[in-house]
Amino acid sequence: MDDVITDFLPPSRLYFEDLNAFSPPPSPLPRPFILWSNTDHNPDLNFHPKTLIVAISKPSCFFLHHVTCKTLIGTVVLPEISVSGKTLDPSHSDNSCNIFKLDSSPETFLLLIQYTVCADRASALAKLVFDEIKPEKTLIFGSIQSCNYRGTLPVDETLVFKLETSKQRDCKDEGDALGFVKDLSYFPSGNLIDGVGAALLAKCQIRGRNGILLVSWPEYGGSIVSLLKSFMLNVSKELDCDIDGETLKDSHSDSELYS
Amino acid sequence: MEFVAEEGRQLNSSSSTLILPALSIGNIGQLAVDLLIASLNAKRVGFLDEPSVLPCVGNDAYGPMPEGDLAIPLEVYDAPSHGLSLIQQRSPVVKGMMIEFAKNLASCASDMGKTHIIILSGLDSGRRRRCDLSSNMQIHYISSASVDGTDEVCKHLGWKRLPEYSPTQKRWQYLVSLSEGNIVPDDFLSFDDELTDEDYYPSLPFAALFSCCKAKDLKVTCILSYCSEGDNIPDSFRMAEAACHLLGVRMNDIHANEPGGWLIPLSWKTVYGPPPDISLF
Repeated sequence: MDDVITDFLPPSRLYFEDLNAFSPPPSPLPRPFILWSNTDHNPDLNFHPKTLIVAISKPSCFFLHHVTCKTLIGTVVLPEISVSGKTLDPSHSDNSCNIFKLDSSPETFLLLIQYTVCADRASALAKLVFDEIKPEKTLIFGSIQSCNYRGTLPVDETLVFKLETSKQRDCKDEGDALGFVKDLSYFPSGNLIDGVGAALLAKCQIRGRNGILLVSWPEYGGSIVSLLKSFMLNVSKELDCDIDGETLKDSHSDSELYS
Repeated sequence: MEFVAEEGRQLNSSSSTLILPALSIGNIGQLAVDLLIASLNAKRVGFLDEPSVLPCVGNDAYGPMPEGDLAIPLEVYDAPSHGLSLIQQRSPVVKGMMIEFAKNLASCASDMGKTHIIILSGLDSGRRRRCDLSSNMQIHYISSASVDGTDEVCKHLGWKRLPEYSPTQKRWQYLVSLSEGNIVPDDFLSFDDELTDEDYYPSLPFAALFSCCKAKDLKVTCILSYCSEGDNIPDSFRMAEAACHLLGVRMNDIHANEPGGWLIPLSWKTVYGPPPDISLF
């Protein structure tokens, strides 16, 4: 049972140190930037994807890493993130944020955010993504954060909810690749998502773009990976991935505890 | 900070008064703004794009039905029949960026054509010097109407000027200098010293907003209420009522669905978490 006397305040409450207007400002950090693999993929040459799929949750990064028909075209660099231990070939355990083009659908980019983005850097990263990549539509895969969820999260059930921008909600395009979300339930009122997924979706909303954030529960597990696969097949029918029973079992234990 | 209008909407130029919350203990400014937006049937007209506010998203803050209406950290609402705009802030400011945030918000409010800013904030009742029977029920205020913070309108409503507001005190003066963009010597203030009671109030977000809005020659009124961390819904009702009294908004103008004359936002239904697990019984 929670100890209401000594427990930390819930995330919606504020300590005085958070409110103190005289706290020194944070040390300035260099802006994040994108390194493109070659000029063909450089958006400065007016090539922008129709759809950007962003993986933030561990299962989504795991799944999209195992999609075979994709080409690495760039990487997002957050200067404060160490590259120690990173390999030249993308790995699903890397502290990286790589951008891929889907070979079966070249107007679809994948962004796998495998490093932890501090809350106060999330907006800078979101701004970079939309200033440089400029997708028409954005689909983000995240997780429900139990500390920000006021309902009951079941231990043995897979949940997925959606949050979407006003533009996406009003979209009547029957051929929309992201139309499969119409049948999903909305994230219940009174609950929040924070972090880089929230920053990306909020940016879409402010800029009047189509954007969807799908949040799933539990945070890890093969059931989520299977669900994501079914969603991604709606985006690209020719999607192929090399996930078998063994790799799926590995996804259960693929947590930071063991990395 | 940039105001971005929602598609098909625009800010009503006749809404010259702006209500906004200051982050505080109990979040009562934010709760009061939620109550006002829902009950005054204010419509969202746009967003504020501000990098110093932490990101968050959710659905259906107000309802009445869950329709997937996305809520983001800083949103602007209009209630033109009351000549009023409201800003709701749903997430904290990056630590150390409060002054920057306050300056940006004051500039934005001025650019939006607002002339009277009403700031709603809680104060820690643990910091009160004197306690009486009325205790947390008493509304306090400070106003830009006079140098010492007094305002005849607020006085007439039975509110008390915040006794701890001391414009000549070093930290209040430091705030004024920062908000006016003056260069302040590095040794003007030592932040290594322990915070005294006198230093507490000027270090709160409402004080930064107050000073920055004053520096923009805006009329500012801070409505303040002592509270403790806990069930702050009654505090938010008291604060929202106080704002209505100041603005002359009558309770029967409000779209109520609850006794007492208020419309409870949909997002408040789960404010205390899920119901108890009935298998316990």
